[in-house]
Amino acid sequence: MNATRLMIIETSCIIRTGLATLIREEFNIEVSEHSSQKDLEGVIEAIKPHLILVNYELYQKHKDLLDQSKIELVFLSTNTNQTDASINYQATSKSAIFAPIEKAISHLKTEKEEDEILSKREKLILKHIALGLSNKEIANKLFISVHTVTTHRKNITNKLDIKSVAGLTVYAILNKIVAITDIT
Amino acid sequence: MVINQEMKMAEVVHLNYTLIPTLHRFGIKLGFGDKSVAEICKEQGINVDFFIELVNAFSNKDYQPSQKIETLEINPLVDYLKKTHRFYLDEKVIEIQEMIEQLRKTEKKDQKYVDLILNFFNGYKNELVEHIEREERVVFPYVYTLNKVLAQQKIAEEDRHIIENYSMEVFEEEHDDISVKLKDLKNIMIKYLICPENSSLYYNIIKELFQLEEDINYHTRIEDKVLIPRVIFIEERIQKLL
Repeated sequence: MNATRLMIIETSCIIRTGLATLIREEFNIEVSEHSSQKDLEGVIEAIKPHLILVNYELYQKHKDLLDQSKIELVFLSTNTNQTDASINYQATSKSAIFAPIEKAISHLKTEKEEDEILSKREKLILKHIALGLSNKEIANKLFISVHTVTTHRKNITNKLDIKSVAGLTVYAILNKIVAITDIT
Repeated sequence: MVINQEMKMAEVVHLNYTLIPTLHRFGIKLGFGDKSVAEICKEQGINVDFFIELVNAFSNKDYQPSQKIETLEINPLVDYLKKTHRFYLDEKVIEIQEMIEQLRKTEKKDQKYVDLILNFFNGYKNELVEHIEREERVVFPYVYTLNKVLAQQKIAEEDRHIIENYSMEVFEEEHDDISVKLKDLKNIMIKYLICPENSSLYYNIIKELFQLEEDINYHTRIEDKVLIPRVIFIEERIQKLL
């Protein structure tokens, strides 16, 4: 797995550089700094950060872009009541700065670990298995060969240590790959 | 270690306490003092060679049947297998089901997850019932018939029909693995479910599932390594009568 990448979007150079220095010292993660909002989309695309610390005012300007990116956000703000995932500009201790970051990183890690078990494609196949489709039906639906479906199925079974369709269905429900109400 | 008839029954239990339910199926009750295996079998009217074969098959995964298998009495063997079936369906499965229902009652937050386990277990139970019914409806009557024909040395028309329509070869083929779902359930509970509040009950359910799996594997071993070779031996002799 690649190292966690964090991006700071903040206009003030003092705050930006200060935060970046502190975070690099405290956490073993890559930190990149960004001042302006010029071509923010391109920069995010290039860096692919897992986590963004963003000035709340800048966030509001780029709300659509940032929300759609589905990247974990921590706000830099003067008003901490906004959300619990925020760092107050008036923070007086290091721990007040680190705590929200730490929380966001741990959140990130658990999400990633879950992702690691099954790939997106495998999850899609699993979803159809749980919905009761046969290998042939899945192949037709996803425009792939039956052979490919069988291979995916074998990999899913090996990764999860679950062999029966009923067992795979329970796994899919537990991991919200399908809803209980979808199962007939 | 191989169990023999001179050993004390208490020693046998010390070697492998999971044999206790098996003894129970033979009608042997605990409290046997210093009596030997042979003595207790005699008291209970159990064929001691038969008993020794079964407990050794139980304790040893790589068990290979001894020469005595050719002379093992068929009816007690089938009766024993039937008793084991009853033990699963009337005791074990119901016990586990009740435990899961109990867990459901005590779980307030994630009841729907416990429902998933319960549904899954019920699915497994249906599979087990079907498997057992097939054996009792088809396989065992076939074995009884073979045994009867061999004793009488002549074949009635209806018996011929039964004998010609089934064989141990078919049984070997259709004797499917019924532990798959049980393994899946254990894995789901161990790897993917977050342990509910009532953790000791949860652990106990897992323990019961492990024991049931072990017991069923043993039972399958008896069917595959004792029943099948024994009946094939009869089949060969019947072929000469046909």
